Amino acid sequence: MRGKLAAVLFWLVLWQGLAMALHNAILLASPLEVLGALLALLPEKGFYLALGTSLLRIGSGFFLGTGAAAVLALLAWRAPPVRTLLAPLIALLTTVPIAAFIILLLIWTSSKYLSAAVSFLVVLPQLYLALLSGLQSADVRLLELAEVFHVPLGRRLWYIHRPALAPQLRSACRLALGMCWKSGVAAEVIGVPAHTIGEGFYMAKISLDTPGLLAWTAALLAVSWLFQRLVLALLERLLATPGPTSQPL
Amino acid sequence: MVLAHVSKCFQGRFVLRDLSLTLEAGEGLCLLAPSGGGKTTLLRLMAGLEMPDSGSVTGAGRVSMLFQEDRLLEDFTPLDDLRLVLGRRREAELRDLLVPLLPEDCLRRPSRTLSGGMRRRVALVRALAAPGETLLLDEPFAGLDEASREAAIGYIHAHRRQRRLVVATHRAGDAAALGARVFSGPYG
Repeated sequence: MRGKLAAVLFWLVLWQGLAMALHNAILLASPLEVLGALLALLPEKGFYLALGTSLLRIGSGFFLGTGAAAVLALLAWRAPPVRTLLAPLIALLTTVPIAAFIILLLIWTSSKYLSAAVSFLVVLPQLYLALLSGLQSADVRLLELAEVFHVPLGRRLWYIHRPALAPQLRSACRLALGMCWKSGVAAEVIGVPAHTIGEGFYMAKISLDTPGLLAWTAALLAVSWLFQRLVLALLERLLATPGPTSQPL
Repeated sequence: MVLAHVSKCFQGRFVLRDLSLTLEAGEGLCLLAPSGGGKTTLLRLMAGLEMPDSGSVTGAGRVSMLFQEDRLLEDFTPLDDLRLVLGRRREAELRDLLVPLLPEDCLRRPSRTLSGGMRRRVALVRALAAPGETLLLDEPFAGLDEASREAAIGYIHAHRRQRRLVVATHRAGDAAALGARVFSGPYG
C-alpha cells in the first residue's frame, strides 16, 4: 500500500515538474491546474448531470449486454445450431473497430442512446464467449452424475456450471467493465449528446482547455471505478460458494 | 431387471461377453471380481450410461448410483451434495441423513477439505438418499477403515428401503454382510 502510494506520488511530482518546465497549460496542464479545474467543476449542477447521464447510459448498456450474453450463451450451449448461427456475428462484433460501430449507430439512431448501444455491443461478445466456454467446461463426471440422478437444469446450473464458469466470467467481466467505459465515452465524444461526460470532453477540446479535459478524465475514472466495484461485488455474490474459491476484489 | 446376452467391448477386447442376469425387485446382488474385471462396466450398463454392443438391459427403472469416484461438489458442503439430488429440503432433514456416518462439524465444510474416508461416506449417503428403484454401489467401502465399514453396512441396511441393490466389490465378506447373492462371473 505504501509502495503504491509512493509510486503515484512519484509520477505526480514528475508530471508537475514537466508541466512547470514546459510552462504551457495547453500542451501539458500541471496536476495543480487540473485540480483547480476539477474544483471549478464541482459546484456546477451540469457536471453531476453529465456524470449521472453517462453512468446511466453506459451502465444500462453493460447490464443489457450482460443479460443478452447470458441468454444467448445458454441457447448456444443447449442448441449447437444456434452456436453456429451466432459464430459469425460474434466474430464480427469482436473484430470490427468500435469507431465503425459508433458512426453506423449515429447514422441509424440519435446520439442520445449511442453510448448505451456501444457499451452493449462491446460487452455482449466478450461475455457471450466467456459464458459459453465456461458452460462447456463443466466436469463431465459431475454431469454424468446429474444425468443418473435426474437433476433438473436449474440445479445443474447452480451447483455444477456456476463454479466451473466463475474464473472465465470474472476475467471477462473485468475486461468488459473497462472497455464499456472507454468505448462509451469515445462514442459520446463523437456523437456529442447533451449533458454527458463526452460532451464535457468535446467542449474542452474545442476551447483547448487541457486542464478541463483532464479534470473530466479524473471524474470519469472515479465514476467508472465505483461502477466496477459495484458490479464486481454483485458478481462475487452471485458466484459465492461455501468453498474458498471466491477471490477478494 | 433383466440383462440378456450382454456383450461389451473396449478397444477390441471383451469386457463382458454374453452375460445374462435377472434381479427381482428388492433383491440384492454382489458382483465379486478382482479389479479390472468388468464390474464397473456392468454397473454403468445398468445405469444406462453405456449401451451394450449386443444384448439388452431392461427394467432397472430409476437408478441411484455410488460411482467408483466420489464425484462430490468440491466447492460446496455435504449438505449441498444432498441438495443437488434431493432439491430444496429442510436443513435438519439433510443433517439427519448425514450424521449417522459423519461428524457434525464437517457438514458445513467444503467437500474439498474432507478426508478420503469422509468423502466416500458423503457419496454413499447421497446415493442412498436419492430416489429410485435400483441402487448401484461401486466399491462402497473403498478407503474406509473397519469401524467405518461396519457403520456403512448398517447405514445401507437402514436406508435401502427394499430397493434392488447391486454392489461391486472385491471382498467376499461384503456379500454376506449385505445379505446379497454373489455373482462372481464369468464376466469376460
